Formats: sequence, structure tokens, C-alpha cells
Amino acid sequence: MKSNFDNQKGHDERVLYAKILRLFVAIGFVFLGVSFLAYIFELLPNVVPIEKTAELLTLRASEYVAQSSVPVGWDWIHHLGHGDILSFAGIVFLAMISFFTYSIIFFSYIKSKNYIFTTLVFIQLLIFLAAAFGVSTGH
Amino acid sequence: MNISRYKFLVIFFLAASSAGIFSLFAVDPASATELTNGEVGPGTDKAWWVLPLSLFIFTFILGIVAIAAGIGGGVLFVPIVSGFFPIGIDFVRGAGLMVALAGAISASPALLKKGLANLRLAIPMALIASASSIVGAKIGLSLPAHLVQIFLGIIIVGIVAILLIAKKSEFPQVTKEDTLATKLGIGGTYFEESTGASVPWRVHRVVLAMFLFVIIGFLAGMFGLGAGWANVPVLNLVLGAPLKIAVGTSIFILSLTDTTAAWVYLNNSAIIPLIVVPSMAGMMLGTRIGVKVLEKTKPGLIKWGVIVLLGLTGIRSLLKGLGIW
Repeated sequence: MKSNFDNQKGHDERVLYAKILRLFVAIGFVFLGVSFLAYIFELLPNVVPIEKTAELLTLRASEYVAQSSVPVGWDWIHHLGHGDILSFAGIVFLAMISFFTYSIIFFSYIKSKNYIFTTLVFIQLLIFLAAAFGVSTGH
Repeated sequence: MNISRYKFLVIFFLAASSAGIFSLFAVDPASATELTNGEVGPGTDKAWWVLPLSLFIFTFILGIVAIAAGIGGGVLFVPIVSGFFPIGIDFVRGAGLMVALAGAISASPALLKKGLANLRLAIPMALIASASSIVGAKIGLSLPAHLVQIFLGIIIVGIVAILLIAKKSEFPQVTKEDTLATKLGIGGTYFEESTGASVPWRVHRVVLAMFLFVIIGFLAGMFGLGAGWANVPVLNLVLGAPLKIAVGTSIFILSLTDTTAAWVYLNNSAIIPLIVVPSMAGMMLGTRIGVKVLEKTKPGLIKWGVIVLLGLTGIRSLLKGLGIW
């Protein structure tokens, strides 16, 4: 069948992607679990006290920001010594995994001179960056 | 233990725990604060750990039931949690995205290795869905809460209709591959374990599918729903991918769409570890148990139960948005 022409290359890309993804997922969940335990057992100080967070959970996100001192956008990066922010960083790591894996297969596609998929993956990386940095902060 | 005992246990555990959890959050009107948008505000006097623990138990059960019913947990999480837990709609949607994302990235490596998730099929579709998910998430976070509830109710009722109506095709007939599919090299073979044969497959109607993924991404971003309910029919019935490829690739696409939408919620402080982590842990543990339950039960009864529950939560969301319930 005609569409099988690239089956072996497609297989290599998939296996590479699967290996990287499995590694990052394992690291991500361990980091998230440990940081969350540090948060709930208050092993580190919190930016927003845990009781206050629980009390404000019925609000909209914008109201929560207004009523707490929670960092917005990427400001959390300056507060990594706090339990709640470290736990948040664990979630951020999970949300970055697709970016990491796409970055690696981007180079794999360049190497295999598959320019259509190199372009598609590059645009996807730009979309990830736009979501993470460019277009999504603020209410 | 025989099958009927398993069924009984699952249903009983679901009913009893749900009743217990929901009763924990029966908000005392005297202690609640009414906000301008009509939602109940701060004022519950429960210990802080009650909510995360309840979410963990609830999502654990949800994970079992979702797998046993063959319906994604992500699509059940948002309507049920927003309807019955005292959590703001933005935080529920943010958690819904992360719950669906965690499940998808955990399942994707095995699906890719087995060839059940296809990168060349997923990459173009995910690109479109993730771009539109940013728009959906931005709009969703700026809409008034009651409008989000109304739209969520309508979408959930629509999803129930899709679950009831849409037929699936194990091996759809694709007589002629379209030009775009050929250019992108979408297609291949996969090993079908049940028959021991390699199954060749290809796709058609790529442009129509891309248009539908614009809508799917938008809805996923706006409501924080896992989009398997929409991805699978489009991949299977519109594109003509075999059902197993459609399911595997859908999960992979979901991991990319939800990643993009999740960033919008993360940047707007709508993702709170106190909600997300217990929900994620409960759902992942539940789905592992659910796989074992699935091996011993027929999904029919549980699936119908979940569809009815989903329909009720959709109606509840609609009525809540309209200020009736």
C-alpha cells in the first residue's frame, strides 16, 4: 500500500518519542509527588497559607489572585523555596513534557530531511511557547 | 469473585461514596457568602484537608468507573466536580485539563511503542486543535461563570447524544486516500493481536477532519474537557482510521491539546496543586484498578449508568447557569 512507504522511519520516530516521554513522565510524577508532600506537610513555608487557599477555592481565578498573594504568570519562579510554589512547579513540569519531547523529535525530523513534519513540529513548538509565554497571561 | 459481585461492588461503592462526599459539602447558607456572579463564596468551616481528600476518593472511583464504562475520565471530571463540589469553575476546568493530560502522557509511550498512536496522523491534527484550544481557554476564562455553566451544560448534553448515537467502525473502508494524506504520509500497518495479522490502513477527508479539530480544540480549552469523546469519532468515522488507531492517536492528540490549554490556565493562576494533585493521583490509581475491573465485567451496565449520570450533570450545569438549581 502506498501509505506504507515511510513506515520504518515513522516507527523510529515513534519509538524515540515513546522513550523520551516515558523518562520525562517518570521524573515528572516523582517530582510532583515529593513537592506535593512537602507542601501539605508544610516542610517549607508557603506563599499562600494552605488554609487560606482552601478557603478561596470557590472563587474565580481572577478573584483568587486579587485576594491572595499568589504569583501570576511566571513570577512563581522567584518563589521556588516555598512549598506551594514547588508543588506548582511540579505541575508546570508535567505541562512542559510535550515541549521537551517535541523539541527532540524536531531535530529527528531535520536529520531525516522530512521538511513537512519539521515545519509542522516547529509550528507546534511556537504554539506551545505562545501559550506558555506570549498570549495567555492576564484576565 | 464472580462478575455480578464485581458490578454490585462498583455500583454500591460509587453510590455510597458519592452520597458521602456530596453531603460533606452541603453548604450552610448562613455561613456562605453570595458573590455577584451568583456563586457561593468563601465561608465553609471544613478543615482544609477535607476537600483534597474527598477529591482523591471521588476521582479514584471516577477512574474505575470511567475505564469500566469506556468513557474518558476527563469528560466526567469537569461537569461532576463543578456541579457538586464547592470549587470555582476556573479551578475545576484547570484541574480537568491536568487530570486528562496526566492520563494521556502516562498512556502515550505504550501506545506509541505498539503503533496504536500514530505520530503522522496526530501531529497535523494536534497542531490545529492546540492552536484553537488557546482561544477557547482565553474566552473561557473571561466569560461570566453562569455563562460557562450554561454552555458546559449544553456541551455535556451534546456529548451524551454523541455517545448514544455515534457508531464506531472497527476497520472503516477507505477506498481512495486523499492528496493531503498522501503528502503527509499518514497511514501504515499495525499488528492486530486478536487476529495475529498486520492490518494496513490509510485515511481520507483530511481537510474536513482538520476543520473539526479546530472546534474540538476550542471546546477542550474552553471547558477543560478531555476530548476523547470527539477525537475518536473524527479519527475513526471521518478520517477512516481503524478504531484502535483512532483511540490510541486520540489519547496522544489529547496530551498535546491539553498541554497548550493548560498553559493558559497555569498563567492565570487557575491551576491549584491542592485540587489538581489529589484529583490526578485518584484518577490514575482508579484507572489502574478500572482496567482490572474491566477484565471481569461487561461494560454495558456501567456505561449506561455513566451516560445517565453525565446527562444529569449536564442538565444540572445548565440549570445552575440559568439560576434555577
